[in-house]
Formats: sequence, structure tokens, C-alpha cells
Amino acid sequence: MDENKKNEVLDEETSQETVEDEKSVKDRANEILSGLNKTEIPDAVQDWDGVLPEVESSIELIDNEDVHVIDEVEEEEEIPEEELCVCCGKRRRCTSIAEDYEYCAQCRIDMLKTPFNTMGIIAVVLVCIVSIIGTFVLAPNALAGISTLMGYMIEKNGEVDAAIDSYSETLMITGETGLPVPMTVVERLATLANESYGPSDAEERIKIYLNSYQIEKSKVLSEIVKEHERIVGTSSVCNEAIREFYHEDTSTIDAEESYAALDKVIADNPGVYDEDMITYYKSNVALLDGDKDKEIAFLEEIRKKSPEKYWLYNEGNSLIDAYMRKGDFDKATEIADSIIAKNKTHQEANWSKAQILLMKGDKAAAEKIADDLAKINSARATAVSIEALIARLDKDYEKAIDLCTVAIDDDYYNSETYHQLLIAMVLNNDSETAYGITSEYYSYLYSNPQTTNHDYVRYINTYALLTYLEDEEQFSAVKDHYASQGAALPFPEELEQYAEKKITLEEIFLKGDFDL
Amino acid sequence: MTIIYVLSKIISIPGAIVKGFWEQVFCRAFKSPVESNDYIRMDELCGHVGHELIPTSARSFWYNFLPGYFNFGLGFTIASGPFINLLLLDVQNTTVKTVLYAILLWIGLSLLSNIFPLREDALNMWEKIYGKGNSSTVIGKIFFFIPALIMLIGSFLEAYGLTVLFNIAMVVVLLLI
Repeated sequence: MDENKKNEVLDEETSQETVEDEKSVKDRANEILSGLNKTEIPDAVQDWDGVLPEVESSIELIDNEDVHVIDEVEEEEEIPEEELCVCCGKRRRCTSIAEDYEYCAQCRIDMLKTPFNTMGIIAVVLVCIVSIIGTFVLAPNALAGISTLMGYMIEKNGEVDAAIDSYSETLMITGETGLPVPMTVVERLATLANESYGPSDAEERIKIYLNSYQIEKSKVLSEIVKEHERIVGTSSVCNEAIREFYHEDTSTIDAEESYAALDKVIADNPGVYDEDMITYYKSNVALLDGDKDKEIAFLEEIRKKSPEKYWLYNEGNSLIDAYMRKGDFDKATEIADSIIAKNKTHQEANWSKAQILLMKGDKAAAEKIADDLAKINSARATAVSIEALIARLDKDYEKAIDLCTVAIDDDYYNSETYHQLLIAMVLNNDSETAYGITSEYYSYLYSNPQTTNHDYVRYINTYALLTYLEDEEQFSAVKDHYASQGAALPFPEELEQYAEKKITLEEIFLKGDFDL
Repeated sequence: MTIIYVLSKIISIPGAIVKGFWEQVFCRAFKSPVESNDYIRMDELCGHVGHELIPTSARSFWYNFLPGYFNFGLGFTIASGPFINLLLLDVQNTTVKTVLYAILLWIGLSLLSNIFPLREDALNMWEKIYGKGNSSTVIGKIFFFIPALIMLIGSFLEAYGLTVLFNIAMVVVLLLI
């Protein structure tokens, strides 16, 4: 304890001396500064230069003395263990930070400069490099990924056609960027195309992206291709079976013999051929025979047996059209609804439903269908066609023409858009321009793989009217064509009546089913 | 529970190390003394740095937010490409490319599994922003609420290794469908 007291006295003396030294330095500095005020700058600088080393050495002295004092005190003073810094174990904890603070002030200062872990630095550098690589990997995949994700979401929402468009876009992007073909996307695309348009359409799409070897790797795709081959085989056998009963010269068919021949195909080869396809051939025979009830009955047979095959029983809108021709609009609507439930954006079903609603005078409901479809990119063409029909019924032919022209110019149109454009032009007394567009209309149908027989029928009927109005010579050629097709393509009754001046164009296109 | 937590950190070791590094960077930036720079250790601090609690609400929020944000940014960049390629598009790659993508996916997901703060840090942040005697402004409280809540919940999920489990489950599900 005596030693401690001695040290304290010594420390006090040393610190007093230091303070006195410091005071003398400060006094001299003040003198110099007051000298500065008296504008004797050069002398003052000279004086300061002389004092500066003295000041520096004094400060150094103070610092060393302080540290020395602290160390001596800490070394000598006995600090209870619970008050020792947990880091250095020598100094007292700095409780001014917190009562339970475990470190001394010095260790705290050191901890502010804790060096970074080498492993951490290496990891961060590597991860940054990897993230640059990742960006290059991501870049080509990102757009394809986005359109695929869109496709999944759209598909979940029941918008099959829109989903098909999204998946096709993905495959287009991967093709352009040189990425390998994404199998999952091809599988989804093929599955949806199979459900909506049948295995032949699906197979056609698959073969754009994959070769036979790649197709075999996928169970889903090989099954679709097998199904397509079965359908093609069935069609070939059916054609062969009924060939002898079809009379090309008169475009007629021996219906009963044909049905029997088709039944024999099933009986002779149980399970080999697609029975629904054979029934579909029977409906075609009934169509050629002009027996509408039987045609409907066969198509209904397929619908009851395989309700998912709407691509077959309503191929080219055949069943809905058959009921509409028969005047059974409730049944036609029921079938359209059942197809829309499976494929929200189905072009034919939505179009027919809107048409029936307008025939019933429910313009608001038809407008709602158009509005809903307009929100979906892939269904905008159908929406425009419905809007054009509504405008036409309101006798706003200019609006109908504008709607269709803009849609064609901006590339969101289908065959119905052309059809509506031509009718609106005819009603607007511009059949000459309409006739000029028919070749464009035909080129579209010819180049579009999804064009159905129904599209061709609508085209030929409109073409017949335009030739009647604009080109007499061509009209007789068209009439010959109708004659050659027999019951499969009857000459439009309303056109005949119009030619006989029994009805007007307005009566054809603004009443009934608003078409020939 | 610590075993599960440490295991989850070891599975996602690249992310755990990088997260620890970012935390130390922000400890320096916010002048919080770091007790240990050992990012991988066999206790509750695994994948984090031991440091003095940050005294102000704003600094505490950013300290909790920024390291996770950096990990998320890097993780998202790294994982997105392989995720789309391997899981979403199911691209038929060569074996070498598939292995490379799988490694990138693991690194990316490990970073994404380490985006939440340590539970104590998250609780301290909540206390500083919404606790008694807090100095936060009303606008600050509103502005910070959703991210602070997410970080608080996330810190609890991470404490039970659930973030890693979630990522593993996601990959498994996508591989199966």
C-alpha cells in the first residue's frame, strides 16, 4: 500500500510538472498569435517553428506518462475476477457502456477493427464471380422462363389457346437463343394441343422441335404420337372401306352400305382402330347423305362416350353448327358451354355462343363475352369479330370495318375477322373492295394449319355472294363447284333467294343467323 | 434444436459464410464491436457474427435488412438461371452442364436460405422500433413495419432450419412434377 501511495504522489508531481510545461507552451503560443494580430507574420512563423518541436515532445511526454500510469495502476491494483474483461482478462470491464458489459474499453476499441475472416473474403469474391456467371446463364433462360411461367398460370386459368401460345413462344425463344429444347414445355404444349385440336395437330407441333429419338425419351410425347398414328391408320381404313359406296360423279353416297362397312372395320379389328374416329366417319357419311339427324346422333355418340374429345365431335364447329341449323339453340349453347368450360378461349365455341345470344336479342351478354375475351391476348381476334358483328347489327358498318381493319393491320385476327370485314363492306355498299380482299382471305385460310372445313364453308359462301355482286363469270364457276360437292356443300338458300330478289342483303345479314 | 440449426447452416454453407461476412461489414459501418469473426461455429451464432446490439432503431433496421438483401440479390442472380433451366424448362443438357447448373443452384439456394437476421438481432430491432421508449417516428414505424415483421418471422423460421427445408422441399416438388 505504501508503494502505491508513493506512486500516486509521484504521479501527481509528474502530472503537475507536465501541466506547468503545457501552460508555458500555451502562453508562448498565445504571445505568437497576438504577434500575428500585429501583422508581424514572418516573425511569428519563425517563432512558431521554434516552439513546434517543443509542443510535440510535450504531448508525447503526456501520452507516454498517461499510458504508463494506467498500466502501472492496472498491474498493481487487484481487480475482482468478475470485473475483469472477458477478452484480455487484465483490465476492468467498461461498465459505462452497460452494467453487464463484459469487455474493457481497450478491447472494445479493438473489436471495432476485428479483421475480416479470410474464408469470408474468399467466399464473397467467389460468390460474386459465380453471380456474374449466373447472370450469363440466366440471360438466355430468363425470357423463356417468363413465358413458360405465364403459360403455367394461363393454363391453370383454363385459357388453353393462350397457354399454347405462351409455350410456343418459349420454344421459339429457346430455338432463337440456341438453348436445348425444354422437354417439359414441349410436353405441356403437345398435351394441350392434343386436348384442343387432336393428336394430329399435337404431333405436327412436336415434330417442329424434336426428332424421333428425342420423342421416344418422353412417355407423354410418344403416346401422343402413337395416338396420332392410330388416328391416321383409322382414317385410312375408313376411307378404304367407304370408297366403293361414294359416287364421285353425283357426289352421293350409299349411306347404309357405308355404315355397315364401317361397322365391319370395328368387328374385324377389335381394339385396333379408334372407334370414335370410325363414328366420326359415320357422321360424315350422314352429312354427305343429307341426313342431319343422323349426323347429330353420331356426333352425340362420340360426345357421350368421350366427352374430352371435343376436337373430334365438334371438329370445325360441326356439332354446334348442326344444332344451330336445326334451330336447337339451347342444345347448341349447352355444347358451347361445355367446351368453354374445358377451354375458356375456344374460338368457335365462344363465337357460336355470342352469335346465339345476339339471335336471342341479348346484346349485353354478347358484349360481355367480347369484353372478357378482349382481356386475353390470344382471344382478341374472336373478341373483335363479336364486336364487329354487334356493330353490324347496330347498322354501324363503318365501325365494324374499322374494328376488323385495325385487327388485321395489328395482327390479332382470325378467319372470322376477314368474314366479318367482307360482310360489313358489302352492307356498306363497297362490295368491290370486299371482292378485292377475298384472295387475301383465302391466302390466310390456306396458310393457317388450324383452318377447318367450317372456315372454308364460310369463305366459299361469302365468295359466292361477292362473285354474284362483282364477277358474273366467276359466279357460274362457283355454282359449278357447289354442284360438284353435293350434300356436303349445299348452295346457300338465302343467296338463291337474294338472286331471285326475294330478300335483301339486310334481311340476310341482320336477321336469322346473320349469315348466308 | 441447435443441432438442426447448425446442420441447416452446414447444408447451406456458402450462404452462411457470405451472410456472416456481410454482417461484419455492416457492424463496421454501424460501429458495432464484433466479438468473433468466426462465421461457422457449432452454436446459435453459426452463420452470423457475435456483436454488440445496435443502439438506434434505424441503424438496427438496416443492419438486419442489408446483409439479407445482399444475400438475396446474389442468390437470386445465381439460382434463377439454373432454376429455370433445370426445374422449370427441364432442358435436356449435357451431363457437364447439368452438374454445373446443379452446383450453381445449390450455391444460389444456400444464399437464399440465409437472408434472415439472427433472432436476437431481429428482436432488438423490433424493440428499438416498436418497443417501450422507442425513438422512431410514426412514418418510420409504418415504413419499416412489413419488412421488419418479415425479418422477425424469418429469423424464427431460420432458427429452426425451416428456410433450408423450404428450399429443399421446393426443389424436390419441382423435380417430381
